[in-house]
Amino acid sequence: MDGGDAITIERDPQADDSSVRVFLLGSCLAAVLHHRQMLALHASAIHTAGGAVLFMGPSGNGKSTLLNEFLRRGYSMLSDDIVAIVLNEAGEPVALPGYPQTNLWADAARHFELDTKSLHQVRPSMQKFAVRTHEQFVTEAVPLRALYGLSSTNRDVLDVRSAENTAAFGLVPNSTYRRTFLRGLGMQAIHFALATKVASTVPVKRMRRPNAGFTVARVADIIELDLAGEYTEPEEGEETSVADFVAARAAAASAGKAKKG
Amino acid sequence: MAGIVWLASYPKSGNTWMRALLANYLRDAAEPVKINALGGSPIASARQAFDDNVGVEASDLLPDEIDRYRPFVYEQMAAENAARDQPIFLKVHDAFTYNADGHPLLSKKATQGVLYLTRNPLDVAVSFAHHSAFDVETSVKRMGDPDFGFVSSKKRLFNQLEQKLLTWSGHVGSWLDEPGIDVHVVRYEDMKADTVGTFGGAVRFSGLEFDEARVAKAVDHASIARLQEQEREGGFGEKPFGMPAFFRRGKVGDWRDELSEELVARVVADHSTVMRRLGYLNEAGEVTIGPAAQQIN
Repeated sequence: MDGGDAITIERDPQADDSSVRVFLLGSCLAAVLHHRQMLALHASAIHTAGGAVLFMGPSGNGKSTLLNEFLRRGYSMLSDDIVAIVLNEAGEPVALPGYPQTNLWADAARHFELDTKSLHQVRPSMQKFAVRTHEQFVTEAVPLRALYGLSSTNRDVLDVRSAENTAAFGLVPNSTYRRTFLRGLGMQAIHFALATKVASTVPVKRMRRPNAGFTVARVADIIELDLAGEYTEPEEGEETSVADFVAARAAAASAGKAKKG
Repeated sequence: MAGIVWLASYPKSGNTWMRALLANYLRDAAEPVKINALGGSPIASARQAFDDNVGVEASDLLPDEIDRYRPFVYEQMAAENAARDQPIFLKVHDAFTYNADGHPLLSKKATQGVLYLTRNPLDVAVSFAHHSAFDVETSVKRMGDPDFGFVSSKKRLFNQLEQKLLTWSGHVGSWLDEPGIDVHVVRYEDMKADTVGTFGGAVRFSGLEFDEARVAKAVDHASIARLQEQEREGGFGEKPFGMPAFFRRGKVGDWRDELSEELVARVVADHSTVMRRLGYLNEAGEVTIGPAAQQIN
C-alpha cells in the first residue's frame, strides 16, 4: 500500500483469483479509503428519492440481507459492506458508489429464492455467494439521507429509534470499517471530524429486531415507513413486537381504505 | 504483567455467575453491577473481536483459516493489556484445541491462568436443556458427542465463531490435562456451599489484590436472588431468544427430579472417569458431591 494510490500484491502461487479479490475489496480497499481521508463505514447503502440510506453494523447484523430486500423492492444500491463518505463542494456528506455486487450467505440466498448453483461462490468451498447488481447500481455520489444502525436482541422487539445526540456520535465512528487501521495511519483526528460532521447533519437511528427468525421484510417495511415520515417511534420504555407492528400496519391499511371508500 | 485469565467452562457450569462476582469485586461499588454490563464479555469467540484484531473479516475466511488466526487475536489482546496490573477475564466455552499449524487456539503465550468452572454433568444436562430449545435427552446426547460444537453451520453468519466443545469429559480433560497452563478448578457445588471461600480462592489465583470485605460484598451483590431480580426488571442480553429466563434456579441436584434413571445411567456411563476425578462419583459408583477424588489443580 502506497499512500492510497497504489496497492502491491504479492500473491501466494496457490491463491485463487476469487480469494485475492475478496481481500483486495475488503481490508485493502478500506485502507485506501482511510488513506484518502474518506470516512469508510461498515455499512450497505441504497439509493432513495431523498438520498442515500445506510445500514450500519458489524458482520452478522444483516446489512447485506436488508440491502437485498430493498433490491427486490426495486431500489438501486450504492455499495455493500463498505461505504465511502466524503464532503462535496457544498460541504455536505455524500456517499460514493462502491462496486455492483452484493454477497449473500446460502441461507439468505434461499430466503430470496435465488438458485445458488447459478451464482459465483465468493471463495471456493465457502457458502457465500456473489450476486451481480449492474442493473440496479448508482454510479454517482449521493447526499446522505439517513443512517440506521442495525442490531438484534433476544426479545421480540421491532422498532426504530432516533439515537440521542451522544449515542449518534458513538454510532457513526464505531461503525468505521477497520477502525484499528486509523491509529497506524495517524488519521484519528481527521476521521473523528468527518464522523462528527456526518452524525450532526444526517439523522442517525437505531433499528432493533429479534435475533431469531427471518424478519428482513418487516425491517424493510419499518424503514420505508420511517423514511416516508409515517412511523411513530414507541414511547420511552415501550416495546413493539413484530406481531404488534404487523397488526398496526394492517389496521392503518384498512382505515386508509375505509377513508378512500 | 497481566495476560488473559480464561473463564473456561462447558455451558451451564456457573460461568456467568463467576463473571458477575468478578465484575462486582473489580468495580467495588455501592450498588450491584448491572448484569448487562458484566466484564468477561464478549466471549472469546465473539466475531467482532476477531475482526477488529485481525484486520480481515472472519466472514471472508474459511474455518481452518479462522482457527489459524485465533491465537494471534488473544496475543494481541494480551499485549495491549501487558502494562496493566489486572488480567483480562475472558469467558470461553471452547475446549482447549489446536489448529492445523499445531498452535493452541487459545494461545498459551496470551494466557496468565485458567479458572476452569465445572459442575456435576447430571445438573449440566438439566440446565442445558432448560437453556436451549431441546429436551434433556438431547442435551445428554450432545454432552456425549465428540463432534459437538456451537456455530457449526457454514450456511449463514452468526455473531460468534465456531466453537468445538468435544464431549463433556473431553472438555474437562482438554483443559485440565493441558501442560504449560496454570489451571485452577472451581466446582459449581463448592461455589454454592461456600461462595465466599471458593470465590476468594479464584480472586487469589487471578493475582488480584485480596480483600475479604470486597469478596463478601461481591458475593452479596451477585447472589442468585439479585441476579434474578435484575433479569426480571431489565432483561438479560445473553439469554437465548424465546427462553423464559437465564437465571433459572441455580440449584445443586436438580437432576434427581428431572432426569430419568435411564438418562442418569447414560451420563454416568459416558463420563464416569471424569466424574470420579471431580468428585461427582464415589468409590461405590454412586453419584455424590464429595471432595474431588484426586488432586485436580
